[in-house]
Amino acid sequence: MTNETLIQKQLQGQLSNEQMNQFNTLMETDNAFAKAYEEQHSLKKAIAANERNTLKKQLQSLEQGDQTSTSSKNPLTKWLAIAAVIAIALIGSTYFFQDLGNASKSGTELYATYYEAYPNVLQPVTRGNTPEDELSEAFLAYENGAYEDAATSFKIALDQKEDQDVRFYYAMSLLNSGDTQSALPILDTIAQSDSRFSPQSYWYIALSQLQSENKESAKDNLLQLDALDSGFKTQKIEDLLEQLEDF
Amino acid sequence: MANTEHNLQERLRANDSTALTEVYNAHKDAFISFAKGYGLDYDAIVDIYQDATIALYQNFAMGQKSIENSSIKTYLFGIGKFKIFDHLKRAQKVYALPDHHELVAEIPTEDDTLTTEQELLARYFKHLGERCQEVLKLFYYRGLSIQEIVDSTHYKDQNTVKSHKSRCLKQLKSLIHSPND
Repeated sequence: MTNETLIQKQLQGQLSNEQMNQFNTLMETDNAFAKAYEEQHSLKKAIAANERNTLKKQLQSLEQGDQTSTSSKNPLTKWLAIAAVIAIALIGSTYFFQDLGNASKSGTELYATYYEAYPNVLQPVTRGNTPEDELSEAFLAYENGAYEDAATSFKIALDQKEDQDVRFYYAMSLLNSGDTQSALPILDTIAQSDSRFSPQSYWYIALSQLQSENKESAKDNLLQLDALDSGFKTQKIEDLLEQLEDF
Repeated sequence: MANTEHNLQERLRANDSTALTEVYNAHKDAFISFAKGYGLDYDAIVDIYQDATIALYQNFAMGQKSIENSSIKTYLFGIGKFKIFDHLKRAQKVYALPDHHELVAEIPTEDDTLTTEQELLARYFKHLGERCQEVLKLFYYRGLSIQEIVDSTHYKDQNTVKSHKSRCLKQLKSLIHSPND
């Protein structure tokens, strides 16, 4: 059995006693083997944690669904619910068939597919402690998805001390809370400033333009981002540009 | 083993998430009555039950678990009981043991707290492209062999899987070391 197979079997808890002895000996004597095992074990745990979160959400929404259905025992509500489901199914199928005929998606659809809030990579948030300053409070709110609060706190922090990177998160908070109009000029400045978050700024400008169906402008921004060759979202830029070719 | 039970186990091993819902719905009421004996409130019980069902599901999907001389329900309640005690220990609650206490044997689950490095891996894993996530998930999480991945996906041969997998790993490592994405 190769070392690779040995590691994989151990990760699945499928080693026989004899193989287990072999595994333990290698872990003690072969540093490269131990390192490879630790890496794979960590990755497995990390992926399992992500999967667990997804499954938890699935069960939580099932639970919420249950509560809604038990609260609507009135026969009329029930029939209305059934009618709504049929209506949605009909509308859904219309879109589905349209989709088959015309594979290109609208800007809003592309926006919905590609948009996700940018993670906090600037300042780690220590949970369980009361935030000590405005900036920590801002990031805590940001990580919790309270984007309006985050925007307010980022603004105060910026008034105290200007920082281009923090300004990016201020713009992201505005964008995530739906205030695209205020976010865009800030992102524009950052994009052109050749700073740490320039690539990200181009990306979010492009997505915002898609949201308002300005496909040409979205494409321009993606091309500029592509030209930076920053390694940020390389594949997604390519995919998106390809889809925008159809317009 | 009853046929449906056998079939359900197969679906759990195949990472079919509808099987999770099925197990969850089938034993929820019974578990709630069981857990109430330990003096827990409804919300806490549902939370524990969700975690127990997920732990069961992952043991099948990741470890290819198979239950021969018992049932999914017994296994689920064993995990659930372990999680109830874990919860009570954390909450430092005093509780009385219910009459049915001895009927169910506790089944411990693996500790799922992540180290800082594993947290980073989990976080940046989500920034990989879909195909990368998929191939790494099949290999490291589901434990499929390279040949099994070829058989169940669009990859044309083992070499393509291997090289794609190693590119994706490299990408993940570089994301962690220079978090620009």
